Amino acid sequence: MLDGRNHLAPFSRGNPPRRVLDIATGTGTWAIEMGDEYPEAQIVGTDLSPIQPGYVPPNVRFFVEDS
Amino acid sequence: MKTQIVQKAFDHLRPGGYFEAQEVLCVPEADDGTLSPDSALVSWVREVAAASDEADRMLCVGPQLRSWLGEVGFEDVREAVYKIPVNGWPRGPALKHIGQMWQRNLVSGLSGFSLGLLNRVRGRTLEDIEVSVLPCFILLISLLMVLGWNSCSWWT
Repeated sequence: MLDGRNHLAPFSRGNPPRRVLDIATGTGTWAIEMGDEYPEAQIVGTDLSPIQPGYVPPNVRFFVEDS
Repeated sequence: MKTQIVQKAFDHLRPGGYFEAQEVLCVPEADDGTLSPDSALVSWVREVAAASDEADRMLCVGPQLRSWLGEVGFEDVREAVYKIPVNGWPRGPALKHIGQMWQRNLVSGLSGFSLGLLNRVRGRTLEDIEVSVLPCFILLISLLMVLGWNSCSWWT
């Protein structure tokens, strides 16, 4: 729906975010895509369910948390 | 949601930080007027939403999110509203595909979304819940209905 964009906030390759928190990340798809899009950023995803894949980009981490 | 997420986000973000959320405005609509407010699907959504409020796990935060963001102190709150189809009625291939995915998602998930809230919070039996979900399936798979949800994105 967003024309392939992952976010509407004004970040870009030239102006990347530094730290991104994905609350209720689920399978982690969005967090992983963000990690690939912004390799310099640190992406953290949290979810009550540990259903994220084991192999993820090096700048992406997942934690089990109840939001 | 306001205190659990929005306030905490504001407190922990440094100036210049961003908060972005996407929510569906829960109640589905049909553009062609074929979904009545007391249809099974609308009634189901309202009941699940009400149960979620009772459980202090509010599902339908969409309508309030914009004002909450402003109230806790976020500046320059932006909002974008998208109409999302929930079955394959659109002619354009991209939206048709999105509608079909949502339909698949809802048809396979209706029971799952309902059981915890309608049983633990509202005390309905499992059999009763499964039976009441059936007419919702029928509405969802009917291509005659131009069904959609409004989805809002806010970023600040």
